[in-house]
Amino acid sequence: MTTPPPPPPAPAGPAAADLRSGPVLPPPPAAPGILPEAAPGWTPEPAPGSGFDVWAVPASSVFGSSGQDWTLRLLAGLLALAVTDPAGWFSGSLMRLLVPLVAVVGALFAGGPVAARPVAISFRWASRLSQHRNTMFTACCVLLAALVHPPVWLAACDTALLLSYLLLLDAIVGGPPAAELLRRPAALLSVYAGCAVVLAAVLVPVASTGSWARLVAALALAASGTGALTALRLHRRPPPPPP
Amino acid sequence: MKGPAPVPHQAPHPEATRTTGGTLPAQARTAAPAGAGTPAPVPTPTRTPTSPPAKDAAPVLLPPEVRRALGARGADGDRDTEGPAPQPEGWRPGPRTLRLSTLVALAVLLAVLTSQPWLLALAAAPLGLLVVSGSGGDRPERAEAVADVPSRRCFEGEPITVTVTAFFDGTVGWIDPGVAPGPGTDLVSVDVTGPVVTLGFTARRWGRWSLGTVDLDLYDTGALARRTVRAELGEIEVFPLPADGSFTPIPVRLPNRLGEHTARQSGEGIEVVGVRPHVWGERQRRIHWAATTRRGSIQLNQFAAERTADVVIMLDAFADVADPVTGVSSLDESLRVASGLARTYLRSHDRVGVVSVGGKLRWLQPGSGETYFYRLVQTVLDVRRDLSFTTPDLSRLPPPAIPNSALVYAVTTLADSRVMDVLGVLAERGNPVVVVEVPIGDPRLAKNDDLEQLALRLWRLDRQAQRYSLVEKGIPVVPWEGGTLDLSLAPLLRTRIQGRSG
Repeated sequence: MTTPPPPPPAPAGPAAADLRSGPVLPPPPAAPGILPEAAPGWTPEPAPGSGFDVWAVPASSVFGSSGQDWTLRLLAGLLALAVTDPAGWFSGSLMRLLVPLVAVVGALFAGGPVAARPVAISFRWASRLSQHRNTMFTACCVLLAALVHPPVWLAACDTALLLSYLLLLDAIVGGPPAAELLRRPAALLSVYAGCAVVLAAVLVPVASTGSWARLVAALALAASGTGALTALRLHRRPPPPPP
Repeated sequence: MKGPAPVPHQAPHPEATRTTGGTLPAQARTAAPAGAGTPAPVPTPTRTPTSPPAKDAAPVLLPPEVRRALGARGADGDRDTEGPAPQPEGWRPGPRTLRLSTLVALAVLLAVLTSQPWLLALAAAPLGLLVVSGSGGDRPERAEAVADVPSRRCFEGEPITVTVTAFFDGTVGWIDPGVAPGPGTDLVSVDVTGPVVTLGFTARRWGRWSLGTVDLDLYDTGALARRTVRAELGEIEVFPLPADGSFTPIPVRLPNRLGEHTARQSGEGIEVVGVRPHVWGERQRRIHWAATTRRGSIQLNQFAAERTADVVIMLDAFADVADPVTGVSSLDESLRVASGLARTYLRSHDRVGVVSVGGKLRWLQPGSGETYFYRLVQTVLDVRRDLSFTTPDLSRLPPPAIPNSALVYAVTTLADSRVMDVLGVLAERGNPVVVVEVPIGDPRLAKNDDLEQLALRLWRLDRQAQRYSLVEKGIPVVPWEGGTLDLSLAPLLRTRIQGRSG
């Protein structure tokens, strides 16, 4: 005579509790011991001094969760208007007015943050374009900016708006490390200053300075290098602890 | 020997009032013209407490972190059974790096092509962000994700909590989880606390399901590079929610074991069935004094024996018909009814066994005890994978699977004609058999189509003929109407269920 196998452990839950009106059922099985032995040097907790008090909060804490989307779209719309050369909107035909209109519509559609995880979900072009629409939007903005010859003030506006859009976009979709940049004013200032230096360097009319042209170019290179080094030093310095 | 008494329908059959759903039989399919897919106006489907939500129910709005973790898979339940392809090992550029690098390269290229040096300022903006975000910490060289599922058995609708812990040897700035849930579960919550990702699932349908896979994207401290580690969550067993019920109809002959049902034989129970004269040598503790005084001789109370019943539940897994109106799977409902029957009889300390027909023949001999319920359900948890075109041979079953006098409940939709052969074999063996019919609804019809109306009428007549043939064989047919089993089993309480063996 064979002995029947023992009954399986019962599930735990309200339905199971409803089942057992009489005798008490055996408890559910304990969690299997599959946790590996923590190897020396493994860090299941954030490294002290890393400066990241949060691990996985995709949204930035600087803006509200409902307002950040439209803030980014508004910034995208401004960027799209700026790269279409507003000074020349009424200088050509009526078709010229369609360009900023299409740009704004595209900005409202593609300028919003992509909240999906960056994984390949399909090999279709439409799906891929939708997944990378933020990159496509900024690339189109650069392309539109290259088609016109903007005045200096508009070039500065384009640069500032593009940098602001990228900063805000990273803060929303880039995770806590990217959002951390918004809490580092020195780093922000260095990035903006670097862009200003580059813009100033490329707009300086060195051709008319004669023999001083080499000196101006060398100063521009030195300023750029100094800005990059400053940015690196600022990055490696841990942020001050919160009060 | 008098044949068994058929139990008539006490209530109109569900199919008499339903107008859509199910599948057409062969003749109806042949008669139906093309374009027979237009749904007819239907009454509002009534949802039983044990039924899953209807397909047209309002979609549940998931939290944003859950939607992000699910990605394009969503929560519609129509996911692929296979998980996503594994990501390449090691560190690779993150989406932020790719976006910023693309802009830098494009701006520089356009500056060169268009001879507009100011475009270098547009390149300096993303380049500055790359420089500022350059990783200053040490990336982990080794990383691993370990899943912990405390309980792998639950009932439908119950929550399942899974903990995935990331182990690494460096500094990580961000953990981004992606979840590919299995087909029988829904992801309802995602919580990331440090390196521990806590996932909340809800079991949607009974069965033995894979919980799915979890991909943890580990980003470096600058969010410029990422690395993916995967954790397999393993399988879970989701038990069906049993249908409620308390009635336990019994057969005429009960096995000779002590139980709670009153048998026709006299014995040592508590129900008085008569009075008889005292026989010399009997105990005198059960004297019926009124009869003794009246007759002038000692009269004893006669008690009925109390016996247990053997019940075998036969599950029809030949076909799984989805009701187009409610989206309810007939096999899901069948197992809920079967588990409800098993629970009801086990509560009254009867022995319950199970046999599933359809593809692979699964069986478990009758047993008793509360925990036996789980073994019974585990035996048939995989019937969804058993769809086959062969007719099982019940003669291959060992005798303990279906004892001679066991009451057999056949939970079936009567949608597959092969189950009629099985029921015929059962009736020939002499077991008392009761058919619990799980409704499947009517096929969909196009409006004002006489041919389809005729086909539907023929289909209904065909099913009525099936029921009539069963009743003629002495097999009662009771419909499952949802809610409680008592509504279905109440007609069986008027008399004991008879089989050919008595």
